[in-house]
Formats: sequence, structure tokens, C-alpha cells
Amino acid sequence: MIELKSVTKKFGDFTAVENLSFKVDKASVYGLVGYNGAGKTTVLKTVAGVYRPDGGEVLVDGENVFDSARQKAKIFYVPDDLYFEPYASLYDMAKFYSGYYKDFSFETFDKLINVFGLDKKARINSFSKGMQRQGELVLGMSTNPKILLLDESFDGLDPSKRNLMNNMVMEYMAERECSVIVSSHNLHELAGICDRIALIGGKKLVMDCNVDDISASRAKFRVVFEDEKTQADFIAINHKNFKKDGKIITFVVEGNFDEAEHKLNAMKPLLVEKYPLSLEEIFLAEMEGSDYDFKEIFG
Amino acid sequence: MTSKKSSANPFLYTFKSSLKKCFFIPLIYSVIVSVYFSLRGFYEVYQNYINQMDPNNINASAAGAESYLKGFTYVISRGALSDGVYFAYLSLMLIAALLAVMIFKFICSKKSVNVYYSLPITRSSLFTAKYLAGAVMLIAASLIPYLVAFAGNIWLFGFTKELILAVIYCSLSSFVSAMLIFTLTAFILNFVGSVVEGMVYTVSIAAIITAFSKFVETLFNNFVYGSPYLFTYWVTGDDSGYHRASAFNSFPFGNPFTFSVNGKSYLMHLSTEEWVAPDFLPVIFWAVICAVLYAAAVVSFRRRKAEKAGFLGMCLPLTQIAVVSLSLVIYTLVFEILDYEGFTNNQKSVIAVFSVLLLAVVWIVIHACVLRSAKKILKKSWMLGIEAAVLAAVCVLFASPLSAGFTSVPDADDIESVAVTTGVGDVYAAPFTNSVRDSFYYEGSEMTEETYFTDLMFFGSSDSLIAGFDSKEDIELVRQVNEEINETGGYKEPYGVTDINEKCYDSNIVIEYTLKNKSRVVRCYNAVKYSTASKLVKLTQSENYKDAVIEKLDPANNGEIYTSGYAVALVSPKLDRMSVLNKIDLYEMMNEVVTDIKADRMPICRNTTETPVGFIMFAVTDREYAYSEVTEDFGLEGATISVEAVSSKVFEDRGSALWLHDFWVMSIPVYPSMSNTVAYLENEGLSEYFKSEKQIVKAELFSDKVEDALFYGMKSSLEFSGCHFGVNVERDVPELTADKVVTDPETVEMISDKTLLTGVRTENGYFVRLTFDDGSCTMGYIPESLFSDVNIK
Repeated sequence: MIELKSVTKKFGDFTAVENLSFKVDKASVYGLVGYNGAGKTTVLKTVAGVYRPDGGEVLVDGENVFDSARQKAKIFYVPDDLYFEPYASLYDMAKFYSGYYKDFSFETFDKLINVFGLDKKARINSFSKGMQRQGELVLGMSTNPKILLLDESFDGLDPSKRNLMNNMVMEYMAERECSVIVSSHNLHELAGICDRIALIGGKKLVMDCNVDDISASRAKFRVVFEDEKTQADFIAINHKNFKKDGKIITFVVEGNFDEAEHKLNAMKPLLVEKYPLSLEEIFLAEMEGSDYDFKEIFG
Repeated sequence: MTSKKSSANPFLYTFKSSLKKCFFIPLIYSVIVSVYFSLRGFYEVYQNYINQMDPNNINASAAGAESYLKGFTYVISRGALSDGVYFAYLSLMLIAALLAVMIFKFICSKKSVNVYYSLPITRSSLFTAKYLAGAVMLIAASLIPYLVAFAGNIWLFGFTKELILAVIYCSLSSFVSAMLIFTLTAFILNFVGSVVEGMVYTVSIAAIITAFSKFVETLFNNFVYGSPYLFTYWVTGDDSGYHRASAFNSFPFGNPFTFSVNGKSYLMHLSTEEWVAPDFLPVIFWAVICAVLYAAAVVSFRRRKAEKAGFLGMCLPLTQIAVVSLSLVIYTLVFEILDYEGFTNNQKSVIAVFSVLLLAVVWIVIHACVLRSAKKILKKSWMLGIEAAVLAAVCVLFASPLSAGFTSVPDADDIESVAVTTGVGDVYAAPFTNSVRDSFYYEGSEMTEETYFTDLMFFGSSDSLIAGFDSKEDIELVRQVNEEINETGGYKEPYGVTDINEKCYDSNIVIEYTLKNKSRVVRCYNAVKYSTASKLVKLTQSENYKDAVIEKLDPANNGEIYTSGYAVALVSPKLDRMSVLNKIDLYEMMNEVVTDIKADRMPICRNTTETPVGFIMFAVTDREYAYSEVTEDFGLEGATISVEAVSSKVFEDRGSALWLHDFWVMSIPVYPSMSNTVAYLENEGLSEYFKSEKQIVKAELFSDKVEDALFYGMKSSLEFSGCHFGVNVERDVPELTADKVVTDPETVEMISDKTLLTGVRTENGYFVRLTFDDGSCTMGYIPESLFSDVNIK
């Protein structure tokens, strides 16, 4: 389990993240979303032990990860800025990582290379950026990490490759009970893979929620009444994001949907419809009233 | 499909992969240096072979040639071990810095640092593994070339204890110096964000020791009259020898980056069979320093902030060191180029302002490169303020009268003894050798009528100090002289000063005080007033001075003055004839000279008015070398002419200059009172070489120039200088207008008898030019006291 306790990281006078705390359980995918420069990479590098936090600590299985070879052996960090040895092939890099990770498996490496259709003997600098990302993920998974840190690894991939990588990560996570932290500046990139998503901005986590729980506890209602209704008419129903378009009214209900539906029906509507919320809608609902800039993260 | 499981050992893997990546660097170096050592040996062997095959080489022999021919197959000789040391050393230092950059550059890249710092290896292990890889490569690079040389030497000359010790010392000291550079570079890279900065700061720190010491030396040399810095002088005592004063010499273990190459000079002794055991103490000292630096590097590597990678200006303290180092280097270089002496107070002020401006320019340029933001530069400009203030304070201190305190004369009660150059020409200096600092020779090339009488008025010896003046009177005399020289504050233009005692002349005076606390205080001067110099003359009349001369000249103490194959010349008293002889037993002749000196039969003091019967001159070097110079300079290659034949034949036939090149020429005047020497020369049939071959046909007197000269006798049909002696038949004598021209043979003879052609002018008098029947001239001098005997008006 990964635990960040009041982590603060400064770059000179600039504070990138401040007093940040969250936990990532085993066999879960933790999504870190935020606009560019929000501090996602800083958080990941701090978890990977690249950065030493200026305050707080990052614990992996209860031990401070910074400069701990034992804990770092469980982690593989796929940075946004990929690094390969000069003129190296994927096989060369596999040998490189096998020198450091005891659990590195060439068998896994070969399998994954085939799945992605990469040439392990070719020079990596001849690969496209997307292929390099796939290659790095292959290398990372071949180290059999307990923690996989993916910094915007899915961004910019074509849909098929993104799905393939998504599936690969999900499968790996489930099979190895791996903790995954994946960051993105675009919420859509993380749709469908995260158990938990945190929104980072202004040096802090502005939201940290379990996707299933929040989805299960929220629903969007669309209702139509013959007569005119205002938001005040729905005061008995715990709702958010009230919108009215002519006679069509939409809002999000949090909590007991059956009770809400029952109350709505009692108001004799012409139409009552209930929908599950998209990630975007969940975030919009949760962040209602905040000044968070959603433009970037919604793509 | 490969199916294998890793058995990772991160430390070992890091070590091995670093070796694998960089091994080609020390490998190439080792091959090149080994080949250089070998080829250098080959060249030496080949040259010796050619010499042996040379039909003009009287020492050539078929056996010798065969021996050297045999050497071709070995292509290495003992000499190679020493000749290639400097090349090997400099290359190794570059290799060390390059290896450090290659191995540790990953911390300066944003991409690679992400990978390396997230790997399952502690930072200290990561650093140590890479460091050890570099160390192993530097061990190999330090050892292999010397092992090759070692093997070659054993093959050619056999095993000796000295040889193995030399190899151990060379390898070990090179390794320690290389590790210092390697460790320093690695250490500095921990603080910066770019490799370029790392390299620049490493060079800055490596250079700052030398830069600072040179800066201090330059300040002392230019602002503090009497400072020994940048002078080369002879020191006395256990470590007697030529010594160049250096601000860094006070540090017992020397410069960390040059100690090893300096220490290797003993290898030269090895080649001449004079073994000097190497001193391992500096090696151990710098090895310990290197270990400390390594420990500091590990700590800084562990604490390094990865976010520095890829950014400039991440360590401003190092930037300040670069600024200071570069400023000091430029400052020193400017003064080296100016090579100016004797600044006025106004000039000193200008220099102080200039130094501050120079620092400011360097500071701004470097910070502009590093910070790339005017706003940031302004924000950090307080640093410039502090640095400029410190530099200005130092310059003001040196430019102020306070700096005189640096060369104050020690208190008489603290002085145990004094060593001093006699100032007016001991036997190693004037009149013939004229050996003062080269910088004074410039006047010779600008000879005009006005300067004619002053261009060679240098006196004082740049050779050995005469040591052992420990009487109260002698010490007080030297102190008084020292204080008077301090007061003059350097060379002053002599023209326009009518009082002879107030005239200041170029000189080369070194005073070395040995204090009662055994410390040594050295003062060096390049100008002296005539009145002050006259006081110094008194020292030449002391027993101490006589003993020093005897010690130098006595063949029983040979080795310092005399060398094998010496060239000897006898010179006529009118300086119109010089005969280079190769059959003289110089040792035997000098035995007689020394006997005369011991019996006070040689007026050692140069202010004598006794006329010498001739001069003995000999080269303090190898005759073979001198001979080869003659043949090369005058196209006489292949001519089987003895030195003696050359000396008489060539200036008759060629009518041009002939030089016998030597490093040093000793001249001994022979006076009639030197009975042993005169008898020896007569018995050996050599006294005839003192007879003039030319007739003096004209005498010219110059009364109006006499006050400006201190020496006389340098302008003659024979020319002598610090590095040459020989006959110059066609002298280019400036046309001077004489006050009196005499051609009457009787009067000419009378004038020439009274004319002193060598010596120190201790009173006013009249210069005389004697013209011989072949058109050549000799310049001389008649003191006022003798002039009354010359019946001309």
C-alpha cells in the first residue's frame, strides 16, 4: 500500500504540492487528474523516490520510499519524459532493468513485446512516441512491480493502443494485485480504468473519490412537468446541478434514489428518467461552486 | 524467445555497466601513451645511432652504432620513462575529468535522473559503484603505460630497485592526481544541473589554487618593491639551488594537480644515474584528501535534488568561484602581457579600478550565461558588490604605502645571517657575463648615441648568493643597503640627475635573511643607487666573500662550476684577441688561480685600478655541445677543424662573427700579482696568448658622458655576453663624437696603458675608445685619479 502523508514539495520559492495526503490500496488503480503544471508529475516522482519531499513522507508498506532500495524494487516508474540508453534497443533496456530488478522476467518481456508487436532488437530512437510508451510499459511490467507509476502514459495514444494498454494494465493489476497510480491531464483518458480518482490543483488534492462508490451513490434525473417548476419545488429532494431547459429539468441526486424517485412521482410529472453519471458529470457535480479550471481536464 | 530470470545485483551491475560504457577511454589512452613511450624510446635510439654513424663525430664507433642499431628492435629506452611523463600526465588529467562526466552525467539530465533515482539501489551505492568503476579505469590508465615502459627498461637495461620504485611512484602519484580530478568533477556535478557547468566549475576550482597564487604573486611583484615573487634566484642552505618564489611554495604538499608531475623530475636523475628517492608523503596526503572528497561527494549525491537536472544556475556559490577564478586568471594574464615594473601611485589607482571593472564584467557575463534573466541577475547583484568590495580592498591595500610593510627590513636582532648578491660583480657576473635579468636587455636593441654608455650598465649577479655574512657589521651594512634600496622604490630615469650618488641603475640584487627562528626572508630588487651599490662593494673585501669565491672556483670542489669537455679561452688585456684552446688543463690552471686567491693575490674586489695581463675564460658547459653549435651556426658541418683551429682560422678567413655557444661563461682576470697563475701560464707557453695582435692607432676621449655609466669595458673588439663569448671583428660601433681624438702613437700608447677595459667605475672619469689597425674598437675608461697622469687637455 502507498501512503502519502502531508507531502510538500517545493522548487525554490515555488511550492508545487503542499500538505498532500492520500492512500492507494493494493490491486487498485488510482487516477491523478489535473491540468498541466498542477503537480501530478511531482507527486509521482516523489512516490518513485526521485524527489525528496520537503515535508511529509511517502510510505510504501509502511517504509519511507526515498532512497530505500527494498521498496523501490517494488516500484516501476514510467515517466512522461522517457529515457533510454543511447542507441539502445528494447532488449538492451531489458538487460539494463534486469540488472536492477530481481523479479525481471524476460519471458514476460518477450510475451508483451509480441502482444504490442514491437521489435525488441530495433533501436528505440527509431520508434514513434507511442511505440516508445508501449515499450516502456512492457519493460515496466517485465520487472513485475507491485507498484506501477504511469505519468500520462496513455495520453496521445490512438484509441486501439490505448485500449490495449488499458486492458494490459487492468489485467496486470488484477493478476499481480498491483497498485497503479496513473496521471493524466485529461479525465477521458482515465475513464473506465480507475478505481479511485483524485483531482489535483492549486498544490492540493481538491477531490479524491472512489469511482464506484460515487457512481453508485449518484444518479442523474431528467423530469418534465406540465406546469412550471422552479428549483425551490425540489427542495425536498437532495440534489445538485439543477438545470432547466424549457420544461425539461435535470439534476443530480446523491443518496437514496428510490426515495427521490418516489417523491418525484408524487409531484405527478409527465416524465421521470434516471441515468448513471459519467466521470465528467460526477466531477462537475462534486466541484460545483469551485473555481477549478475544468477546460483542460475535460479535453 | 528468451526465457530467463534476472539475478540482479544492482551494485555489481552498475559497476560493470559503467566499466563497459567507458572502458574504451582509458584503453585508447593507455595504448597511445604506451606507444608514445615506446616511440619516444625508438626516436632516442635512432638519434644515437645516427650520431654513431656520423663520420664527423670523433666519438663515433662501429660498436656504438651496432649497439644502437640493436636498440631498434627494442624501440624503448630508459629515457622514455621520463620524457613522456608530462604528456602522459596532462592526458590522464583530461581522461579523469572525461570519465567523471561520462559516468555521472546522468544526474544532469531530467530524463535519465528519473530512471536512475527510481532504480532499486540506494544513492550511495549507485554513486560508489560508478565511482569504483572510474577508479578501476584510472588505475589501469595510470599503470599500463608505466608497466610498458617498465618492461622495455627491463628488457634493455635490466631490473633495478630504483626502476620499480620509479614505476610505483609514477603510477601511484598519477593515479592520485587523476582521482582528485575525477572525484572533484563528480563532487561538483552533484551541485549543478548541467554538464557544461560541471566542467567549467571543475576547471575553475582546479585552477583557483594556481590562479590565486599567481594573482598574489602578481600583486606583490607589481606593487611591493622588493618582493621575491616571480624572481628566480639562488637560495642557500640545505635546499640550495635556483628557486622561483611562489605564493604556493609555502604549502608543504604543493598543488594537488601538479604535485605528481613535479615529483617525477627525479626520473631525469635516474637517466643520469643520480637517483633521488621519490617522496611518497604528498601522495599519501592527497590520497587522504581524495578520500575525504569522496565522502563529501557521497553525502552530496545522496542529498542532491533531482529537480536541478537540466537547469543552469543551480549552484551560485560555484558560479562565484568560477567568476573569481576567471577574473584572477585574466587579471594575471593582463599583467603578464604588460610586464610592467614600477607603477606610480596614479597608475596603481587605475589598476585597482581596472581590477574591479574586470571582475564586474566577468561576473555579469557568467551570470548572464547562467541565469539568463536580467531580473535574476539584478537580484543577485549583491554578490558582485561583496566580491568587488573585497577585491577593491585588496588592491587598495597593495596600492597604499601600507604594502611597504610586506618588504620591510627585518630587525637586526632577529637576523642570524645574510646572503646577498654582491651587486657590483663577483666573479660570476660582471664584467664579462653581464648576467642580469633578460628583461633589461631591451636597451641593447635600441642603442642610440644617448644610451650608448648606459646600455650595458647592469651589474650584480643573478647567480649564487654569497652566504654566511653573520657579523654584526656585515648584517647592519646589508640592512642599511636594503633600506636605501627600498627608499628608491624602483628604477628611476638617471638622466637629468647630476649627482652620481643619486643616480639609480638597473641591477639585480637579491638579499636573503636567515632569521634566528630559522625562517628565511628574501628580497629581490632590480634597481639601485650608485651610492648604495658602492656600500655593497665593501662586502667583496671580506674574508667571507673570498671563501665563497674559493669554494666555487677550487677544482677540488668541482661539479658545480666545471664540467667535462670544457672550452677554455685566453684573452688579451686590450680585449683584441681571444684564443680558444682545447689543450689546456683547466683544473691545473684553476688550482693556481685559487692558490693566488687564497694568498690574497687576486683583487677579488672589482674596483681595482690594477691592469690585468689577460683573462682566462671558460665555458661552464660541455665542449662537444659548444662545438656542435659552432658548426651548425656557421655552416661548418663536416669540417674536421679543431676548436682551436676554428678560433684562429675563421675570423681571419671569414671576417665575421664567431660564437662559441655556452650557457655560462666564467671570466677570471689575471693580474701581475697573481704569481702562481702567471708562472703557470708562462711555463706552459700560454702567456703568449695574452699578447695583442693588433696595433692601437687611435684613442678617443668622451668627457661629457662619463657620469652616466657605472661599468666600462663591455664595448670592445671582443664581445661577451651572458650566453656567448667570441670574437666580433666587424663591430657595428655607433658613431659618437669624441671630445678629443688622439692619433699620435706615443700618446695613444700612454692613454691605452691608463685605460681600464674592465671593472667597476667607482669614481668619475673619462670614457675612451681605442681603435685598432683593423678598424675594430675597444671601449675603456680612465678614472679621474689616473687622468692627471695622462698629459692631454
